[in-house]
Amino acid sequence: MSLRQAGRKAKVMMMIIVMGLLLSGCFIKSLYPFYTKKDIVYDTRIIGTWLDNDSSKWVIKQLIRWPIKPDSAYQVEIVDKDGKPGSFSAHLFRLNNQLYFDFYPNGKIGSNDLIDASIVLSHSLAKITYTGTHIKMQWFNEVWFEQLLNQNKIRIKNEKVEGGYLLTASTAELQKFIIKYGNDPQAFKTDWGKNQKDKDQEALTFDLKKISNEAN
Amino acid sequence: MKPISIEKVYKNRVLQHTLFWLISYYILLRVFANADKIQQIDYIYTILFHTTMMIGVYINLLILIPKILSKRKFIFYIVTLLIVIAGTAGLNILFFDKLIDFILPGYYFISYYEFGDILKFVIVFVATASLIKLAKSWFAISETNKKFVELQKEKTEFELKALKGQINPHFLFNSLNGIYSLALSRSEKTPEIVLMLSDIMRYIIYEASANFVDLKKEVKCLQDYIALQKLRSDDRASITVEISGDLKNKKIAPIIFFPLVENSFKHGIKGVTGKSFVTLQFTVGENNIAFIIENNKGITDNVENNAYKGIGLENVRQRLQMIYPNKHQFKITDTAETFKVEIAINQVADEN
Repeated sequence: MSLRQAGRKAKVMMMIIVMGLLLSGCFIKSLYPFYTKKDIVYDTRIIGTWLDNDSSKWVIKQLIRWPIKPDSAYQVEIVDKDGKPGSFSAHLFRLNNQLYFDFYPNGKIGSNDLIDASIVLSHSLAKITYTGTHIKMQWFNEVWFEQLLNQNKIRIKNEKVEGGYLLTASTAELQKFIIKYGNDPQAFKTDWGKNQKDKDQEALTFDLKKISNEAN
Repeated sequence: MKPISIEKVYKNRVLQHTLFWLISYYILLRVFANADKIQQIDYIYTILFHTTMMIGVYINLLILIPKILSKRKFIFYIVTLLIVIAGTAGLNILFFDKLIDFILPGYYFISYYEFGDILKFVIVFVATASLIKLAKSWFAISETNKKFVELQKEKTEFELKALKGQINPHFLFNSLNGIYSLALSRSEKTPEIVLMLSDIMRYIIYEASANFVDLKKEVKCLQDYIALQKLRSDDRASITVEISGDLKNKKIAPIIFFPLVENSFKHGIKGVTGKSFVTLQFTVGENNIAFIIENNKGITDNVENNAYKGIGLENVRQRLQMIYPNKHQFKITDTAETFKVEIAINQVADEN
């Protein structure tokens, strides 16, 4: 095997590993956004710096798209307690009188262009309870969703991917599903069990406290 | 195992409907399947989807078509059909949005299609089922018509046989009476008359049973008959037969003119004591035949009682009506001295 071939193989391997990491999170991921333009809510009070229950810092500011144009969305920069950064664009939207955040990874993820071009980025959904100085984020319950899929009790377009499922249903279908089952006690669970998966899910229930109105 | 015949499928309504829904189920199951592999949930969803479609389809098949469309209330049918189609689409959405949670708790379905898409599904179902039903009805009507035509044909043939059957004994009866008279007077003509009668009877029994016969043979038989009658008549009677035109390759209904010739001799020649006549003209054209027979009027034959008078004439009229409907003319000229019948038959060559 030539050096060039070995390099190419390493790149592909790297791409697979990054894709796996991206997709193996404990979120329900969707190919299509969970919102439409008409559902978007923009609230300036969200803008600021927040601290979650895991001591991670969330800097939320208005998303500016290129060429410079303010969007009715937020740019969310997260720095965890170990200093690892993450960046998302987030859309706050309302469905059936309930607020949700649609998170979408920002920018490049891989170590090179080939990897970036090969990665399918996905949307994640969190139910929001906003009280001015507090934001409670409950992520869509993947454990429950997986169980239903395995038991053949839920019918929504999806693909099995490494580490979980990727929803491939259209936005219209996703919204119908959220409207109908968004209030199901299992869909956005708060009372978690003792097994590891449940603990993982519980860890993803964030309670954000505003520490500054400045987003920097 | 006995194979199911097409006819059995055609006549078995339950089987037809089962087949229709099974085919639809097979197709839609593959359309609805989310992944390459059809999941158990897809089987359930496809059944439920069909259940809502069935409501619209059967309202149309069992109520709208028989109660409205069959009475030719087209506009009312279209309006009610549109309401049923829209209602079925709405029901489908309501079913998967709300009702399903009561019917199958623990299952998570939504209405996966928008109203417009469901509407298309309902239209396809209703249209397909309606077309199948209308096609079946058309076949049924066609079959009934065919049976009706066959029955009519059988009835006509039966009536024709009955009419032809009236001629034979009628003619035989008169001829035997004549032979009886000759035998009583020990006439030398008796064997010759019997022989001629035999020839005529051979034609009537063996050849006249067909629907159509050669015109040439028919005329030959008529000539024999006239010759037979001449032997029975005295020399004062004037009997003229004129035949013009080509008799070849023409067909005619058998023994159709016989009763008229028979009547002419019976009422004309035989019934008078003075000068009597019978004039017969046959004019054969390319496509038509004209037959004219005229005789003087005499004393009614005593052998035939009043109940049987006019049987021959009416017989000819009925047979012409049945065999040559709208293709013939029949005219009687009845004066104090003479009796004349004129018949014209068109499109004779078509009967080959």
